[in-house]
Amino acid sequence: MNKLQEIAQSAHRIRRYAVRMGEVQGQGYVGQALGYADVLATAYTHAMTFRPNEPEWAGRDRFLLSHGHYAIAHYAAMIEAGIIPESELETYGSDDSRLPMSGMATYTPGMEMSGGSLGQGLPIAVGMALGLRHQGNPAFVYNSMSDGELDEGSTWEAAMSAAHHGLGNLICMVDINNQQADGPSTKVLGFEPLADKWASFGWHVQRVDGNYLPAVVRAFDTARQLPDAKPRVILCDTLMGKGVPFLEAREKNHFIRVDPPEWQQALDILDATRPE
Amino acid sequence: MNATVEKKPRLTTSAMIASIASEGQRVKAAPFGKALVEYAASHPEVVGMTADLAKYTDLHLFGQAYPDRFFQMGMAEQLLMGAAGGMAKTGLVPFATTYAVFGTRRAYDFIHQVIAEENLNVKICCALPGLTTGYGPSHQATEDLAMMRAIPGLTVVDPCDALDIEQAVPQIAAHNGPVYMRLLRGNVPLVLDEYNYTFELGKAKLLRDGADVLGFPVAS
Repeated sequence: MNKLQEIAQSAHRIRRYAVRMGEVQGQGYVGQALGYADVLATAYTHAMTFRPNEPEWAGRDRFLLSHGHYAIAHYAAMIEAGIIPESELETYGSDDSRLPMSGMATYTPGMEMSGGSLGQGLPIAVGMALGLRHQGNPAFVYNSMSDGELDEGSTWEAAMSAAHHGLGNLICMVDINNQQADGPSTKVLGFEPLADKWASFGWHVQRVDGNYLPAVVRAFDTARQLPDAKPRVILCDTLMGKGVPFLEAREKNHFIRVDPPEWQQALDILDATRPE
Repeated sequence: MNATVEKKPRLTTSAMIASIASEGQRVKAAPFGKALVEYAASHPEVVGMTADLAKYTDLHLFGQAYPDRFFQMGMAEQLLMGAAGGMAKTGLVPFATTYAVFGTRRAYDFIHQVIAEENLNVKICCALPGLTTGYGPSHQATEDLAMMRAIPGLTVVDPCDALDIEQAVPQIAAHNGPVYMRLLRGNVPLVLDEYNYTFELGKAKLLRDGADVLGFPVAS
């Protein structure tokens, strides 16, 4: 099995874990999880350095989930990575669970920040990247954010600062699914031309189809290997519900409705199309 | 023609630009900056961060003493607080400075969610507390104490004079957890040296005994 096949299978399992967690609560941001699974699989299976049994290891790459509501996707990726046991999936969103619906650093191993108030990840990432560099720690800081967070001024404060400080150890991924709480991002607050914006802020920019693994893997490799002392952003265009056609086609908004029998149907479809 | 020029009386002002000290009052210069420089000499984990107000919070002294441990974050208070939290997550102890109005009002959610929610070891030190400003309402921090006290887990310190400040700095640095400290900058009045007083974090001190009135003054 080659590397791409491994990552594809990993993405498949991440999708399955997320759907199973959604079924536990009968709801969840499963559309986002399905759309972002390929990026998460690449990050955890291919790009990042970490020790599953030692989530606080000082040499680890940091993964900041700025969009806290993507926790269902992140937990799925961390189950796949061996940081969280698969058995805990059954507790998703329940009282006393380590897996709350919005990501909390104080609850969950491997969760580097408490997201939920959007636009906070990139400022934290700037401080982390400065702090790691100051201490001679070669780890990367990955900030994962949604396209809705492009609305927040703090994102751009941090973008300016990251370039000003020449943070070559900072990689930002933006999930562009064009869906926000009140509708398509392009109608809520237009952000295009997005690649030009980041470039003009002093970042190395790549824009890829976030559901096409060869491109995603290449983008992560490029971001890590670039010798320039500048921050790097990977703009990932993704499709909410990816991998489950009836969810891909469903009327899109921030929250995709899933009816009770559809959780199993989604799992069946994912299994029927499992990558070799 | 009468060549005598009538001398206009000089208008008085209560505005304070560099110091709140009254004329003739005993002062100490930059007690915060000097105390931090001294403490940081033996504590390499201490770093300084500011939102374009190093000179106006006396943090510039730290920047001059330890340029590689000083981080200019620009006039961006949300970034300052978020990045200070990120810095603390790597094991450093950031002192983040700006004015009280900007630090608390503009970046409240970042102090609440990034710093205090995770009990991160960030020391937020903000100048121009209360009415100690010459710039009018835009710079008057009249609600910072109320806002900061409402945040669970955040230790709030409101020093009274230069002695209070210089004694508080090493203690808040050594305290494991987030702190908000009000800051007087420049030539800061010296008052408490007349009493048998030392600052102790979290403790009230009796300054003057008596039988008629009990007062609990809070700083300035």
